[in-house]
This record gives sequence, structure tokens and C-alpha cells, in this order.
Amino acid sequence: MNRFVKTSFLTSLWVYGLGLVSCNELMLGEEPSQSPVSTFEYLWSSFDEHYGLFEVKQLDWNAIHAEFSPQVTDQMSEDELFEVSSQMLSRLNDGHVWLVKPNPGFRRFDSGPTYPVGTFDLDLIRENLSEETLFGPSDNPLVLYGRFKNTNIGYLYLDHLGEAPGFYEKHVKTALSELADTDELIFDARGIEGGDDRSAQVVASYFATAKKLYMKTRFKQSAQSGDFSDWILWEVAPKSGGYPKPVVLLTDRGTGSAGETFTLAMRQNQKVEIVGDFTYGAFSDNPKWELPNGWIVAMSTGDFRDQNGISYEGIGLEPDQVVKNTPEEVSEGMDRALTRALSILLEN
Amino acid sequence: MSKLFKILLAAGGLLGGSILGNSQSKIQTPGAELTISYLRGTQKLHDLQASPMIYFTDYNGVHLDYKRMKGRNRWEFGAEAKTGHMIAPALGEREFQFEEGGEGFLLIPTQYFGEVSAGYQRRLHQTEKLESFLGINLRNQIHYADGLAMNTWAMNQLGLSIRYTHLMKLGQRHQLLGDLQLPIFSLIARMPYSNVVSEPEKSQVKSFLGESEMTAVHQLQQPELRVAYRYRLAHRSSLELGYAYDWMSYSQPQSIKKSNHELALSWVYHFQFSPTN
Repeated sequence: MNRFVKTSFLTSLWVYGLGLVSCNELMLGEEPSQSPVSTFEYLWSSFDEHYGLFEVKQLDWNAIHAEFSPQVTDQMSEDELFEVSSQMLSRLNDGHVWLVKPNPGFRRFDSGPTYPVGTFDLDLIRENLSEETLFGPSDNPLVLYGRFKNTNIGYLYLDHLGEAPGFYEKHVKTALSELADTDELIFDARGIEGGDDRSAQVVASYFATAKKLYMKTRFKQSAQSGDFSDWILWEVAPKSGGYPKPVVLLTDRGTGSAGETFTLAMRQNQKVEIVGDFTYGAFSDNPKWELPNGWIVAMSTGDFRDQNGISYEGIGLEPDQVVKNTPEEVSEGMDRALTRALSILLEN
Repeated sequence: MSKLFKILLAAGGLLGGSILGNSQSKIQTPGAELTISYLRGTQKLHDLQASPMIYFTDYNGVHLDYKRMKGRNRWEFGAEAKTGHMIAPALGEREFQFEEGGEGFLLIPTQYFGEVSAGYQRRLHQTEKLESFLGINLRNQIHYADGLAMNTWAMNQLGLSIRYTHLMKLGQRHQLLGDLQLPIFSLIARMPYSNVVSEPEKSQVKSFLGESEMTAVHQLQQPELRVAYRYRLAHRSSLELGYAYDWMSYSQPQSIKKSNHELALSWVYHFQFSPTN
């Protein structure tokens, strides 16, 4: 009898244990509802707890919730929810904030401003180079450098800064070694839409003449409003194999994110003059968050400032000389920013 | 005659020696064993740092283990590697595009995970049929997935556990094993609250590991239970079928809960035999 009781007890315990470990809700916690209201609230809360730029942008997120939440009901369609969510996110005016809905019926909303496309054409420049060396596909090179015809002015173009720092250590160093006997250089950052801030730091260090602080970054570290990590200090310092001669840096609204932190670093060098248009104005990293209904949203969780504590989020960096190309001019073969850069260097 | 007698004597000697050798080997116990296992399991992950939804990973893997037994002491060293695709059943397979009109791609992240461990146990109790051991296990577990909610997801956990093992011998060939371990102290690295790892002049791995937090059993719970049946195939080898379940709960920087159900089919090689104590 004792043995029977013992066996029954152990069997019950085993079955109970198996049931316990099979129960997702108990062992793993509950998933939120996938209804429109739940998804909207999750979206709003994710920004409330993680977004790093409310203070910089002076936005009252609670007021924005009060404005948009009454428009959301569980009876609305996916597309209607996407519309309301997009309108709410548009208030952030942040180029690093976007929302995507998967297929079928893929949709993407970008919160940041849009600027005319076609204000830069690499092929126009390539026509003016007497020699060129490239790395990557010929029609879309990752790195391209050469010399302008009938001058001793070098040209260096990077498509993005998305490779690891070691990639740029190798290829930029090689390019600058090849261009070491030029008198001046045009660095074209108009194609750099983003990448790794560490790579931006490495590339800028090849043009640095002194060690200088150029950027401070911090990130949200809890859901509490205004709770950020300590400032992370970014310095640029001269690197062996660097280019010590005058440089014109070309920027435009296509220069974004890591392209902008690169521009911040280049601004520390007095031998660098910046020509072109304002940069895009989206600096912080933008990790992604998943919503209960499977949509994905990207948001800025950092607060990036220059060495003086000034934020250019949503504004962009102003060049020393503002020269704005138009798509019409570029389609007719005219790159006024490049022409200005060449004339500045030829006057030296 | 004399020659035949010598041959018979030699053959008898060889046979006798062989029988004696066999009978001796039967009362010898292995001092070490090497185990290679095929692993098949399901991981369920609910990490609010990555997604509000629960992700399932059906995975395959291999485990290598070396165990040294001497007197009352056991030392064990192991390594394993596993991989599988991550799917949130509530969301299903999702196809995204980078932009309107762009090419579609399925968002199915692949998770790579594994561990290395080193442990020591001392025998608590021994009878003809039962043995139990208690000791510690130092284990580093690493998890990495690229593309979970279009982000990198990673976790590293170096844990010091208490480990209890119970063995039950059922005749000459059969053995049951129960094993329980519980981390007491852990050094854990998770993606930070911002989900961004970026510091000047530091690799991302270094920055990630640099944020490791020391924690103890009051904050991180991860009990692991394993049961196995072993069948002695031959003098030097056994076959083992095991089932393991572990559950993890940790709250920083946001709640993560994780469970694993795992089956292991193992081949065990026994060596370094010595007379039973």
C-alpha cells in the first residue's frame, strides 16, 4: 500500500511537472494581444520608454498620445491603423524613425523629411577623372579615388561607412597613399547615408591634425524619462599615413547618420572646408522594435551632440559654403558643389 | 609429442590468459569516458528586449564531453554547439521589403548558441545500485542571432552552478541518471536597454562583454534537469538517451524568460580501466 501511494505520488508529481513546463504562459509570460488598440499602445509605450530625443525635439509625447489614441479602435483595418500610427510618428520628424508592415500589402512610412533625389551623380565626376581606382562593383563602388584631369587635385569617394573599421583602415590608407603626391583633395561624402560611427572616426582620423573631441553620445538606459547613460566621448586623433594637405569635404542632404558623425569629426580640422548642402539631420543609432502584430519600427535611442553639447537632430550640419545642386542641373551634367570645391582648391 | 604438448600448453595458456583477462575486465571500472551526442531540441524565448512575442527555435546540435573518474572524485569538461531558425508562431513567416517596390525577403533569423563547461563533483553516497554526487559546474553559454526583429540579438552567461547527480544501476547493462544544476552566481551580458552597442575604438564584442553584470540566484534563476538511460553495448562503449529541460528567468535590462526541451542521443566510449574500489 505504501509503495502504491509512493508510486502514485511520484507519477502525479511527474505529470504535474510536465504540464507545468509545457505551459508557455506560466513559464514564459504572456504575449500581448495583437488587436489594433494593443498594437498602438505598445508602439506608443515603446517610444515613451526608449526614444532618446524627446528633450532635444521638445515634444510632449503624452499630449501626442491623447491626440491619436481616440482614433484607434479594435474594429479598424490594418491599413487604417498604419495610417494613424504613421501620423503619430510623423510628429517626431526623425529620419531614423520608420515603420514597416509585412507582405501582403507591404507598407513603409518614414518619419523624417524628404529631399529631392538626383542632386548627386557619381558618373558626372568619374567623367572628369584622369584616372580612377575603385573597390567594389564598377557601377556602384564602395571606394573610388583618382585625380581630376589637368590638375593635381585628388578625389576620394565612399559609398557608405557600413563596413567594419578595419575595412576603411585598409582601403582609405591605400587610397591616401596613392594620392599622397596630390596638392589637395576633394572628399565626397554625398553618398554616405550611414554606417558605423567607429568607421567614421577611423576615416576622419586620416585627416586630423590634432587630437580633438568632436562628439558626445548617450543612450536611454531605463524607461524613466531622461534616464541616460553617461556621455561617451568621441575624439579624433592624427593617424599615420594621413593626408595633411587642404581638403574640401562635399556634403548634401544625402549625407546622413554615420556620414554626419564623420562630418562632425572633419569639422575639427582647419584644413578641411565643407561645401555643399546641409547634411540630413539624423545622427543617433536606430535599433528596431517589433510590435505585437508583427510590424517593425525603428527609433533613435541615443542622443548625439557635438563637442559643445549642441544637437543637430532634425537640422543637419551647415557647410562652410552652401551650394545646393538641383536635380535639373545634375541631369544636365552640372555639379555646382563640385565646381565650387575645385575653384576653392585651385585658388589656393 | 613433446612439440604437440608444448603447442597445446601454449594454446591453453593463451586461452586461459584471455579468459582471465576478460574476467578481470568485467570487474574493472572505467576511469574516464568520452561522450559524443546529437542534440535535438526546442527553445522558447520571450525576451522583451527584442520582441513582445515568444520565439521558438527548433534546433540541432552536437555535444562533446570528457569525464574523468578517480576514487570519489569526478571531473567533467564539455562543449556544445547548436543552431536553428527562430519563428514566432503568433506572427508566422513574414516577408518584408526594404522599400516600396523592392525585393521581398523572409524574416527568419538563425540562432547560433553553445557552451563550454568544466565541473567537479564528489561522491556523496554509494551502494551496489546507487551512487550520488554533488559538486560545482562552471559554464559559459553564448547565444547569437542576426535579424531578430531586424536587430542583432546576443547573450553571454558565465555561471557557477551547484550540480547534483544521481545514478541508478539496473543490472550489468542498464543505468538511469538524474542530474540537476542551478546557477548560483552568473556574469551575464545582454543587449543594453537602448539595443545599441557602439563605443569609440572598441570592437562591438568587447563593448558588449564589457557591459556584463554580476548577478546571483535571487535575480537569475536557471534550473536545469536532465534524465538519461544508458545501455552498456560492450566493454568499452555505451549508448545513452537523455532528456533535458531548463528554464531561465532574468529581469535586466528587461525581462527575459527562456526554456529548452532537449533530447540527446549519445555514444559513450569508456577507457582508462582500473580495478573497482
